[in-house]
Order: sequence, then structure tokens, then C-alpha cells
Amino acid sequence: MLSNDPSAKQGNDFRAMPESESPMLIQATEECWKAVMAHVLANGGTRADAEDLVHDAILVMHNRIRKSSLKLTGSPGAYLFGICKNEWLHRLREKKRGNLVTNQIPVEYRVEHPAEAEWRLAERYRLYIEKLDTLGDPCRLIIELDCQKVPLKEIARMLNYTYEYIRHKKPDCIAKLTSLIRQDPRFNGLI
Amino acid sequence: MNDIQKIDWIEQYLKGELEEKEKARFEATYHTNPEFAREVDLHREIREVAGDKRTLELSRHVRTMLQKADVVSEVSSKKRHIQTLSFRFFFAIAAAITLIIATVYWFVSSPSDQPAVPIANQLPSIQDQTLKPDVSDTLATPSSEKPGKQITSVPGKNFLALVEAYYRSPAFTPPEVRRGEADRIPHPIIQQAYEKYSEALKFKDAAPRQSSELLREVVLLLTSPPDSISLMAHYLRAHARYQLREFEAAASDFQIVYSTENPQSIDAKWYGALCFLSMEGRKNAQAKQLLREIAEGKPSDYMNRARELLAKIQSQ
Repeated sequence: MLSNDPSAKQGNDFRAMPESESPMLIQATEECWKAVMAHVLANGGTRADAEDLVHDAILVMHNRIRKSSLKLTGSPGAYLFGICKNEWLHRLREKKRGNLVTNQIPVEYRVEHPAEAEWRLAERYRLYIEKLDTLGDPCRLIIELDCQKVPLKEIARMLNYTYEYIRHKKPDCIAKLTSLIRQDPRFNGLI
Repeated sequence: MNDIQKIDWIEQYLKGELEEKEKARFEATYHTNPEFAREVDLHREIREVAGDKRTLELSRHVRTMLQKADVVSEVSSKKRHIQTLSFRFFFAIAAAITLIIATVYWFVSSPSDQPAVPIANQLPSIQDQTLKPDVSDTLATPSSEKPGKQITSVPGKNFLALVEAYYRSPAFTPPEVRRGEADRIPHPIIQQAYEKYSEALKFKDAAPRQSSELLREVVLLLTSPPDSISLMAHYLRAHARYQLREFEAAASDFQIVYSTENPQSIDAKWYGALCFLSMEGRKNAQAKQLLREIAEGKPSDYMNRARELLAKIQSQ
């Protein structure tokens, strides 16, 4: 977590208050979206690929800001475009590799570059959030509130259900969510 | 151990609720059973992301933004274009006035028998003009008062406060199944959208953020509906957008509904008018047009309300 030290510099040093990062990230998206889309479309991708790429990039930036490992000296939009460009190249290579048999090191012994691990995590988060959203309510709300450490009794009160109902519904909802995730063809490529 | 028991076990471990012995057993299973380990890792990551409200909000916000991106950037660039045009227009007017003043001064200061008249005496004195406050300017206060109460709003601006007193979310009920008529079976998309919309209204005061998320889900769910449910979908989506204060988009959806003769045309016209009134002043003419059509058209529940609202707007 970033410190809320008020003596932290403002401006381009984004080790500032965490509350400021979301508007900056949204602005960065607005600044670079067209350029990213143009780049992706010109290099064998689709609009959906561009959307996924920008979304994942935002999560990666968000994560780096939180860990204080990001210190921008230029425009956030330019940084976002830069990392999107690099990652798109990587994704293109992965697409082309496809199901070819190679002498690649088996998954369990592979050492991932930290940056690559960040992107894979962002892709997995995107998948989980997507499946959470398709889950529908009340399951989505039950899972989110439980994970946000809201007591089950409070969840029951908020959603206007009984405690017993929520207690029994929760594992059903989780089972449904994990099933949706595992059935998605993207899942095996992301773990 | 069945699947539900396994899920409970994993959840208890991740929440730190297992006792030492049980925790040790869990960890032993984790280290010796790769499939179980993958499942635990999946649960752990789901808990991480679902428990992180800011990441969830950011993700959903960016997603929605990207899906509407072309409209947003187009509107932004149109606004910038209009601002640039306004600035150029203002600059041209200022330049013309300067030229006129300079020409007048040149003629006046050229040698003649008449004494020169100081510029100050030729131009109207600004000091003579006093700005009197318009007594009809009263700020509207947001109110949940029923229609019929005296509510005014600032002339030339939107009538948001006035509209809020007139807007009532319709009680949506899913179409009932009729025996022997397969085409009356509620479409699953509409059914789901109805449920989410109702849920959203239930949470509107207690959990506004969740309410907004549900409304956004309704909007997404009803994107590109099949032709058989197009009008219903647009009507419901319009209300969801209205609740989200996306008046322009809501007006557009209502327009689709009232452009075709159907049982909800008048309702759509009424709510479309409310949307136009909630936007900037330049849309008031369209709102008035719709209200006139309702007031002067076939008898309906909205006829008197439309007349009343028209009278209020026109008195501004």
C-alpha cells in the first residue's frame, strides 16, 4: 500500500496519495486509447484485443503505483501507450506460437519474468471480473461483500435475505463462479 | 468430501479460520495434491480481486469507458471544436468593434470646423447601466414533492429539479406466460434485465454504488437486443440510463420506442420529454414539442401532467 504521507511530492511522482491514482489512470486511458487501437488494428488485432490490452495495462499500472514501483517522469498516457505497444508484440508472438510443439521448459519449472507475471495476473483478474459480472446477483454481491470482509449477517441484512440463506448460497455461488472460470477457454493459457 | 465441503474448507483456510491441526492437514494436502493446489490458488486470486473494491471499480469503469470510447472521444472533440469556433467568433467580433472605433476616431479627429467630440460622450456610458436582479430568478431545490406543487428552476438552464418531481420509475413486471402462446414466454434477457433493474431500485438509497453497477449491467445486457424484444429492451434500457443520469442516451432510447407505434409510445414520449428537460437549455424545444403532442393527442394518463409541465416551463 502506498503511504499517505502528505509530504510526498505531487506532480509526476506518483508515489502520491492512492486516492489520486484512479482519475490519473482514467485520463491516461482517454489520452492513449485511440493510438493503442490504431496500433493494434494495424498489427493484426481487433478492437476487442485493444480493449483487453488497455484494460490489462491499467491494472498493471494500478498495481505498480500501489507497490510504489512506478515513477513517471512523463505523461501517463504516453507511458500507458508504451507498455501497451510492448505487450501487444508479446501477445502477437504468443498467438503465432499457438499449439506448436516446442522444446519449451514445462510450466512448473518455468521462471516468469516479473513484468510478464504482472500481465498474466492482470489477464486473470480481467477474466475473474468478467465472470463475476456474468454471474448475476445476488451471487456476485455475496461473493464481493464476503471477500471485502463484510460479515455474512450484514450481507444478509443488506441484501434482504436470511442469514441461513446467505450461508448456504455462498458456496454455491463460489462453485458457479469457479466453474465459469474453468470452462472459459482462456483459463488454461493463463495459469 | 463433496464439492461444497471442499469449497467451505478452502474458504476457511484462506480466511484463517482453521485450527492448527486442520490447517496442517490442509497444507499437507496442498503440497501433495497439485490439482487441489491449483484450486486453492484460484480461490485465493478470486478473493484478492473480489475483495479489492478499487480494482473492481477501476476495471468496470475502464471497461465501460472503452466500450463507449468512440462516442466519448467524438463528443469531446466536438466540444473542443465548438469551443474553438466560439473563441474565433468572439475574436472576430472584438476585432470588428476595434476597427469601427478606430474608423470613427479617425473621422472625428480629422481637421474640421466643428469642435472634436470626446469619445466618452459618443459611446453609451457603461456607468449608466445598472444590473437589476431579476426577481423571478429563484434557485430550484431538489425535491421529491409530488407534481402540482410550485417548483421553479433557473431560466435558460435545465429543469432537473422540476423533472425529478415528475419522474416516477414505472413498475416493471415481466410479461406473463400465457398458455398456448409460446411467443408470450418472457425472453430470458428481458427477464434478467427486469430482475436487475428491480434490484437496483431496491438498493438505490442503501447501496447507491451497487445500484449503479446493477443499472450498468442492465444497460450492457440490453445492448444489441434481438428484434423480437427490441422495443421492450430499449424502453427498459432507457429507464436504467435515466437512473444513471445519462439523459442523452436515455432520450435516444426513448426516441426509438416512440418512433414506432406501440403500447408504450406515449410513456416513451413522456419520459423522453423529461430527459430533454434534464439536459441543457437547447433541448427544451424538443421537450416542449413532445409535451404538446401528449397534451393535444389521444387521451392518456400523461395528458394532464403534460399540460401542467408545459405551463410551468413556459412561465419561465
